[in-house]
Amino acid sequence: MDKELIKILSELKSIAPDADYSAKSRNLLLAEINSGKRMIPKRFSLADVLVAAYSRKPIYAIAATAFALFLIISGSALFTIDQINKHDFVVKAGEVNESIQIKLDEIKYLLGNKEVDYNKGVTIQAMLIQANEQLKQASDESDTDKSLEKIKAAQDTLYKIDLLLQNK
Amino acid sequence: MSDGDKNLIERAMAGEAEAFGQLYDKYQSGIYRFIYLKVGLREEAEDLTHQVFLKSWRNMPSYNFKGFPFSSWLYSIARNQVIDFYRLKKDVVELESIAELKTESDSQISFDKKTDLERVKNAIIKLNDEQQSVIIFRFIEDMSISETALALDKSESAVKLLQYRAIKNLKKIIDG
Repeated sequence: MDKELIKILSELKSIAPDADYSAKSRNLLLAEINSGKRMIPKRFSLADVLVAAYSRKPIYAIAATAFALFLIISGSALFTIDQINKHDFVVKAGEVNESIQIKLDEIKYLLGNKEVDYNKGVTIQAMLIQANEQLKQASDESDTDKSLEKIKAAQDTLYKIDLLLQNK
Repeated sequence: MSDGDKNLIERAMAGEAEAFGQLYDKYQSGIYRFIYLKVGLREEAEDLTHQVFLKSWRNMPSYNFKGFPFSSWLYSIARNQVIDFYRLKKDVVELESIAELKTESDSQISFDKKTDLERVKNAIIKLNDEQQSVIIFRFIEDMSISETALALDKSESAVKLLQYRAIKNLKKIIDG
């Protein structure tokens, strides 16, 4: 049975995208690249994203810098997870962490390349602070299950910000 | 990672569009197949695949060579993209609405074989995310245990266990 199933699975290898779609998608990607949009220079922390969010509104710049400094001094909430000696938790948190990092990169890109109106900007700032608070609570939480819940809540908040920025 | 890949990645990171185009040519089919087997819908799989490459381009500078193959990095973006897709969609994809499996050699496949392929494909969609991924990586993309472990950010022993459970569940779903 296993051999038969594995043989059938290997036949799914023949699934391929439509050639027209592939050519169109490739052309669109290269057009975007050639249009000169800049790439993100490095991986971003939540502090970087917060700075980017605040710096769109000059009046918030000083507060943003102070807040970002606070974040940096207090340390990234997720790093402290490595110190928790529960393998399962570390594995799960690591997966969420990777997902959060990808989402942060995306949000940073959108903040740098999309026009955000004032009201939306304020909402996004509040949500970024909320995400940071959730990560901080996760770091402070001694119960690993509760900590993971907080990390997932932060992930959810970042996901909502991403949707908001994409106007979905 | 091959030297050819490394060279392409470095050129793409420096902003050379054609180098990224060649990476696209190399990995697009696998990423599409991975997404299609998870969402079961051709058009959605096409859109999501496009998004994966767009995101990978935007985030190229954050890609790190150290022991992490480029394909694994792309698959991790694809996994997140699929998770986002389901979160946005919120409702479960009805199996009845899943597009008919089309393969390159469809016309040459016998009815029984098509039915088997369809049953297996529909069963894969019912597995959880990790079990789907391990089945696709190991048996469809022919990735080694160590490559699969890197792509899933798991230990090799965890992948072996996951694979065992995935096959067991897949057979259970197929047998009804």
